[in-house]
Amino acid sequence: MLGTVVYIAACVFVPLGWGLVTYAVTRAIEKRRPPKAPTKKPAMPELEYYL
Amino acid sequence: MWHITVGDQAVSLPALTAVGLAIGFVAGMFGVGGGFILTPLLSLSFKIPMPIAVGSALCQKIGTSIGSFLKHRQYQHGELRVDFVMVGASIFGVDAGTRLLGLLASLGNFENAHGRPVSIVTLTLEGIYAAMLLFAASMTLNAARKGQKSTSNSRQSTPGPLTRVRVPPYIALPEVGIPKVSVTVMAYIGFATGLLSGLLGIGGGVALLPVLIYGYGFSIKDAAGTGILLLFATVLVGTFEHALRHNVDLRVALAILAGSSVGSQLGARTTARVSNQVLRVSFAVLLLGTVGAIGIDMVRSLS
Repeated sequence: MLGTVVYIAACVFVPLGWGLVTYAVTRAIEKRRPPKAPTKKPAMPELEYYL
Repeated sequence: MWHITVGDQAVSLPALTAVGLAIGFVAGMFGVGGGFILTPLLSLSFKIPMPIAVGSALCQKIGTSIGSFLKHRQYQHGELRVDFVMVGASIFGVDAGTRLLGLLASLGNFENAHGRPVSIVTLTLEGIYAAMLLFAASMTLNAARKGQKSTSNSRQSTPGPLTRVRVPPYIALPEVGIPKVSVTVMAYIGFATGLLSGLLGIGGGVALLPVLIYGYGFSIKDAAGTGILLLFATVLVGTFEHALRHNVDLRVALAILAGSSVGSQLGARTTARVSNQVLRVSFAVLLLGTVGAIGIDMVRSLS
């Protein structure tokens, strides 16, 4: 029972934590070294989360 | 050490990370989720059982979607009321989708003409994926052929046919300028979004975005900003539901996530050097290639 709870919690919180760390690192890098050229918008914003 | 066993298949962890890198690259380059290609690839290339492929794909999507959720919150596009109305129904939808997947998996195999077993769940899901990707490829190719410019800067919403459906109760959507929509209809749409997510292991936007744009008349920008909270909640609940049924392999999810975190950054840098027209055509080719691979696998398993 405890094993299942830990497994479910890990499945939800480990990728969430990973995503948050990645987001924070990316933002920190962008703040420190802003991109020289303006960032191009995605070619297909209408599909951004379409699939 | 570098190999794990998923179902009864030995799977290489570096190969999974390489797939994550490639999918992250595609996602970053084209500005799409990338989930559409992941589940079929896990099933086709690694022979991971479909329920585990779906559960693990949803699990790794938590890591990728939290970033877009936080990023979109800064822009404040879209109508948050839609998310709140749909989120409850979408949770029931995820549950229904996960149960449906379980039901399909419990049907087991049937024998083809040569007496070889064919998995019903894999064949059904591959069929749904092929149809979905063909639709998306035709839409993208059509846009590329017309040389259609993105209308993402337009924020004008013109009420679509679904705003005229009269099933009480109603709610106003002031952020997108729509005075009255049916809460009941919206709830059913949320349910369908969740169902697709639980069944296929994708975000569920495949159902939501066309409905918001063509059904309700949202501008593309508002449609893209709407539903981010809903989709994030759907992915979270979907992962929980699949984990409850032991469909999530955390090692698979993390190996993919490790690759896609790097790949998406590389893809986003590459996109600035390529024209939108070339991007659209390459994206359509990628979709058609995936449909081809799915089609070959379906024909091979049936013949």
